Amino acid sequence: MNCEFDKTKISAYIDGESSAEEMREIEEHIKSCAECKAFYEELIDLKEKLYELEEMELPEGYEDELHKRLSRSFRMNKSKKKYNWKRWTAVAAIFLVGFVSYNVWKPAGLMMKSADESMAVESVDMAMEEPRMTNRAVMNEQAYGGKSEEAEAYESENGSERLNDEGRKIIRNGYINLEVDSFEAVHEEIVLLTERSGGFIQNSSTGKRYYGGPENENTLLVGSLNLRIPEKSFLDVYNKMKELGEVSDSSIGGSDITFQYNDIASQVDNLEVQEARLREIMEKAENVEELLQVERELNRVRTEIDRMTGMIKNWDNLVNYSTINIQLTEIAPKSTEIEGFENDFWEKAKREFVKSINRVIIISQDLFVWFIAVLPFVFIIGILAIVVVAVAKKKRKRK
Amino acid sequence: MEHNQCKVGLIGINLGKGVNKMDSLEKKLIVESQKGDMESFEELIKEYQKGAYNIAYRMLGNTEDAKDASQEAMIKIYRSIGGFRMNSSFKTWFFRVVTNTCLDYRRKRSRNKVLYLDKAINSEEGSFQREVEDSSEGPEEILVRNENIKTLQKYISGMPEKYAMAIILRDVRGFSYSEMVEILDLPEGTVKSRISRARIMLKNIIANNMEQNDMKTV
Repeated sequence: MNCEFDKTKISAYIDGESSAEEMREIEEHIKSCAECKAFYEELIDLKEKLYELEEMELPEGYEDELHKRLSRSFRMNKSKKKYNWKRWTAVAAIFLVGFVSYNVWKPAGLMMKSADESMAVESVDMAMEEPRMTNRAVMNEQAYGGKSEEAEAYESENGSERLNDEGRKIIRNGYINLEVDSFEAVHEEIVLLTERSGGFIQNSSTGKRYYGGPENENTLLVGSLNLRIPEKSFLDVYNKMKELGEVSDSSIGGSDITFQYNDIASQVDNLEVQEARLREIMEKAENVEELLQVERELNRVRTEIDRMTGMIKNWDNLVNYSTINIQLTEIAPKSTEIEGFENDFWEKAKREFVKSINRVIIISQDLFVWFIAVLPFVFIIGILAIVVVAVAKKKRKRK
Repeated sequence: MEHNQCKVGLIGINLGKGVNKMDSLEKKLIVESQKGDMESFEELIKEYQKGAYNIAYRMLGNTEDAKDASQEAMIKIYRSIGGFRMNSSFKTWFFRVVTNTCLDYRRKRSRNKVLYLDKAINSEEGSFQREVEDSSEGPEEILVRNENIKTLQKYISGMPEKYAMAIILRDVRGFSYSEMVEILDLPEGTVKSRISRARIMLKNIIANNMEQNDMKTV
């Protein structure tokens, strides 16, 4: 490497990026300088080697994956365009400090009102969740699995209504909220699954949902299904259905009616004994009046028995056929735009914003009130402090 | 100094003068994309995404990272396309974001110090199969050639990032000097000398390794 010639020029030369003048200069030089000629040839060689690096094809599913990621970011984009994170963290920090100090300083009694208010808000939120939970002692799925054998044994008794003492009567139900790409396909699949398990569809409704305004042709289907599944295959079907789409919400529950069931069953037994006895009496009846009286009594007993066996049948039905409620929501597939949730989003944001503003007002009011309330103490403490300082000064002076 | 300039990227969108005049279709697609139309955006980047993937692959050395980084770049582009000015070239702006994202990705990866041994092998196997399909050379030649490609790839992704990027953009992807000026946001002189230096570096790496191999075989 003794030659002082600018190597950069040679590099540019092989790319055809030098001016005519430079080209002439380089060509001249290469002729005379062996070192630079070798360098030039090495670069050509390297370029050829690099040329061997072929263009890679995009891996399979690349565009689909990109599409998914883009739509995810699209959604995010809508909610947080370009944030100046520093500023927002600062704002958040101020809020946090405000909130924490508010809670720390909160003197008893003074701020109870606003605390109650926030509690109320929370309980409203809770209430929205609750309906699904009530009446549904949440079941342990494993415990359930253990039960199914019993249930089978029970069913093999030719569907008899009465139950032996150890058996338990449990009405099971499940709820699934599914988000699906294709409503129709999943709907069909659900119907198929239900029929295969020996169950039936009790209720089914389908509706259209517009997005991008009703004049827009884009529609998405929504619907709900109310299925009755033989209880031994309930869990199986339930789990299979959960796999049909994106589960946004699901729950499984059961209520134990063994006690009521047994109660009614024994009442039926008693009534049947009574009925038999009444028939005996009827045969022994001596006059019409007696006969009529017995018959009236018998009639009452019979009605009671019918009513109760009806109840038992209904329970058996509920126990033998578990209920699954499915809520289907279609999500816009690839080729369609994602729109129509923006309105709701802003609505929500507005609502939350107003809520927060109100809270801020309440907090600052309360703080102000607290400040005023505390003033006398500050006053007294201030006077005490002045006195103490004065005394201390005097003492020091004396010393 | 150069390093810092390299980092600018995403925010510095005003490129001054555009090199290629944009055709009207591209312009239309950009306008639609800026309004948030995803389909138009996908159409717009269709032409370039392979390039983005290839740059990422050469820079990072395995398919998994290449996929991730190039897609990340395109998401960034999608998010910031609103700030793109029509008077500059979309192509160079696109690849500017891609190169910066790849460099960031590489730095992040080296910080995390993950060993991508298995992934690299997988990817090389992938490229091996592909070449068998579309070439008519004998198997032995392919093997040797493939081995060369594999090592060459390793050398490139082992180079300091700015030189690796220069080689990839110029010699692997064939960008012109003026395009590279905009993509890398560097003056032309710097681009020139960087390409030259990168080539000398790579040439030396290859020579050194050949020497070592020779020593071993002897």
